Amino acid sequence: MAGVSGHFPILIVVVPLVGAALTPLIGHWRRRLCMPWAALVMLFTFAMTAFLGVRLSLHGPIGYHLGSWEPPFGIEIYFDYVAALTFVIALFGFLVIIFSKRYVEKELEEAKISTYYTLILLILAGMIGFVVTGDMFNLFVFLEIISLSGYALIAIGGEKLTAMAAFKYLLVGAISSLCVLLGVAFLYSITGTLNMRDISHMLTLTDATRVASVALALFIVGFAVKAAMFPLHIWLPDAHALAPSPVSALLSGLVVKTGIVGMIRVLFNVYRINGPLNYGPVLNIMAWLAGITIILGAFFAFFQNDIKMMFAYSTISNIGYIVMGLSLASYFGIVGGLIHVFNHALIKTTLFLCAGAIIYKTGYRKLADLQGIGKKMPITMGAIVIAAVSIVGIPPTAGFICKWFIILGAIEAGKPVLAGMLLLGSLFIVAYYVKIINAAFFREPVHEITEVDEAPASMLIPIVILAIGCLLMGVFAYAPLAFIRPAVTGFLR
Amino acid sequence: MRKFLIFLCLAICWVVFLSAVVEMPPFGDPANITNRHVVPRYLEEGVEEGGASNIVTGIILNYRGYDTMGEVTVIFTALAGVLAVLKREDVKTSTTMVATSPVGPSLIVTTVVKLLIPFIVLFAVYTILHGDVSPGGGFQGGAVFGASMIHYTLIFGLLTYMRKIRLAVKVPLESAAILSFAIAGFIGLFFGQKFLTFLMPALSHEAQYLLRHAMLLLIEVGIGVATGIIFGSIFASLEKVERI
Amino acid sequence: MIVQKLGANFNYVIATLLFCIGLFTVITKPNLIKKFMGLNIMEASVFLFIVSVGAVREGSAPIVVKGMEKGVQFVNPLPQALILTGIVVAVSTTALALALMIKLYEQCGTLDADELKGMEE
Repeated sequence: MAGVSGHFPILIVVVPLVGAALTPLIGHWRRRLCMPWAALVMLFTFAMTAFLGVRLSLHGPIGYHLGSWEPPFGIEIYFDYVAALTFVIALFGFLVIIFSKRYVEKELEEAKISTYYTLILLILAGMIGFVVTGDMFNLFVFLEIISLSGYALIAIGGEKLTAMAAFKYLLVGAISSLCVLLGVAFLYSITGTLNMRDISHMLTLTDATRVASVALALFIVGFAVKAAMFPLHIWLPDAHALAPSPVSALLSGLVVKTGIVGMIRVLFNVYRINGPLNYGPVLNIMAWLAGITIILGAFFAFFQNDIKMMFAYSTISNIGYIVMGLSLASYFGIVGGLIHVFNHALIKTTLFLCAGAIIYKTGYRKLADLQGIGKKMPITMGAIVIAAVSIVGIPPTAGFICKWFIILGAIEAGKPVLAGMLLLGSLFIVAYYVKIINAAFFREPVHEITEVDEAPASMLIPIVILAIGCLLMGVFAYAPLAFIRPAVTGFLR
Repeated sequence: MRKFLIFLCLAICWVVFLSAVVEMPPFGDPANITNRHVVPRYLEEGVEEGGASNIVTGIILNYRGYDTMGEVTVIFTALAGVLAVLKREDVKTSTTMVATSPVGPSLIVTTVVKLLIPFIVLFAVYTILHGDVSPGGGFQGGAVFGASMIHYTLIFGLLTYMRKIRLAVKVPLESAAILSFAIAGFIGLFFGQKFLTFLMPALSHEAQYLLRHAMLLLIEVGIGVATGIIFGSIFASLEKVERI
Repeated sequence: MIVQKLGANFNYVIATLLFCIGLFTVITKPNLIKKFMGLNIMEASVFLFIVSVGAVREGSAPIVVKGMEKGVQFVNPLPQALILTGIVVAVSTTALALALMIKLYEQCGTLDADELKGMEE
């Protein structure tokens, strides 16, 4: 741990935070410099996360004690295999900022531009901090940073109903944050500590299992809201569909994953599977709810006209896959779930950015208005096709591996019905992506969108990079396993 | 009917909570695990290590300083959020209900507020600076400071407030809390310590404690000023009415 | 026995009850401002809960004064520090929610959840 690189675990959080704090100043001085500044900050962060990722795969998890206080007394940052997700967050954040340039110039008022980039940097810093922290209360603080900037970003556009979508999200999100905080309080009262690994150790010593179970229930409810699981998903479609498209990409690709990461932290790092508390029933309930989530999400997605609404419901369905994989609590299930966290982030970011490019160019968002768009914007629609094929899970693509693993996991856990639900959900998904592709390529245009051509380069480059990423993930589907396998082995130990 | 069902569900929730409460350690017992596990270190060594006689301040700024850094970020996020939703007030387009009201503020009110505001600000400064020896600190003092500005804006109107505190002053001060934390953190890195470390073994004994004092003061003042200014900005943004 | 235990943990009983009352308000009240007040009740209940966890009978405020004798029983300072953070978070959420409500009123002309639901279609 020599030199500056030893401090990277904290710098990946602090650099975007300071970047966000400086953005209003830069915006006050020269408004045009906000976007290059934000992109530079994220690029720098991305380089650091890449370095940490390599180091992680070589030397194992890295702990960083803030203020030199040893863990139970101070706050610890623990860069473990799950925290490798920061790499994805920083990379996609960078791409989304690049994409935002033209979109923001067209859709937002002048005065809001610096605020927009401030909030984007804050939400990214919040997510990175959330993923790497090893302290329960710190988790809550970063959860709030993510949530608050998320609510504001949804309403930044100012179109009708955006404020309502944001307020709905705020109400549900604030309740879920409070559930998490109350859970932390219950846990603190019986363990006397806030450090995750210390709590996990102290839980083996305590006999107050009922308190621990209630705390677990509160955590699950809290994070299930953030991840939009079935009975608690009501806020998601409006919020994700009405937000500005780059923001939808961030929210759908990454922010819902923080709910998943929270669940992983609580289920596998704090209350360990083989720990003293038998929480099998909780996992069972979660698995069934996840099954319902898969089917309902895909079902509703099929009946939407708005493409962003479709993608939003598809997110709900895919969160179902991830949660099902995790709650099977078997090796294959968790591996599949974790790969899908990564794949879905990639695919859904691509899809929402494509939708953003289309809306930017045409101004239409209903599928009926967009017929024949494939001939006008071949690259963007090509990216949608690649992403759609990946998410459906046709064998050589990214989506296939995760679904295969989750099905294996379900069978391994002796729950073939769940595997059936998963397949049924997949069928719906195929149906609605066929619907999009059919409308885009094989229908005659209803509107005279003759003057529409390909999106500008600053939008196309991120889309193309992400689409290539989707293709590569199909070929090198086992690449994330370098991080996921040790993580899962750690969970099941 | 729907209300009754919700009531029933929540009653069941409460019973579940109670089942946990029964099992919780007894209220106020010094022998509880919460008082035995981590906290004794804070109580015994806190003044020496944390650098403040008020142990709560020591925990906020030193032991769990990173949490507090997140916390100031939350306030900053709230400000950015309010500005994203409502925009900042503008001399050209904004006004307030107070300014358009046919009845102006009476002489008594304006005089009293003018007399009162210096004392409120003085109290805010006192609260900020005395955080380490008595109840108080950056957030509390900052809230009082913000209250003084809200008070002023309510009586004298948004335009006067905007003229008193210009945008070029406001924008940097709003970021002051995060930046002062970052500066204090990077001082630690500069001396080869971890982020947000306050004691540098590389220095002499006296210099160490002096530096720690300076860093804690920097953070307290940064938090206080930023919180106050942010509260003022949020209020101004909420209060403004677009002139048609 | 159970009643005795609940009596001893009276603070937690009330805090959890307030949590449920707040949630009830959030769900049933149609007015958005009232919904948000319910949320504030929930926040207050969680703060009450956490501060209660840190309480110690006969404990004094954790401020060390010069010349104080050794072995004074202090209350637990950690929950107080956490609650300060919690309160700041709650204030920030409230500010943002009020801003959103102002915007919502500008956009839709009402703050009634039932009327807003009709507008969605």
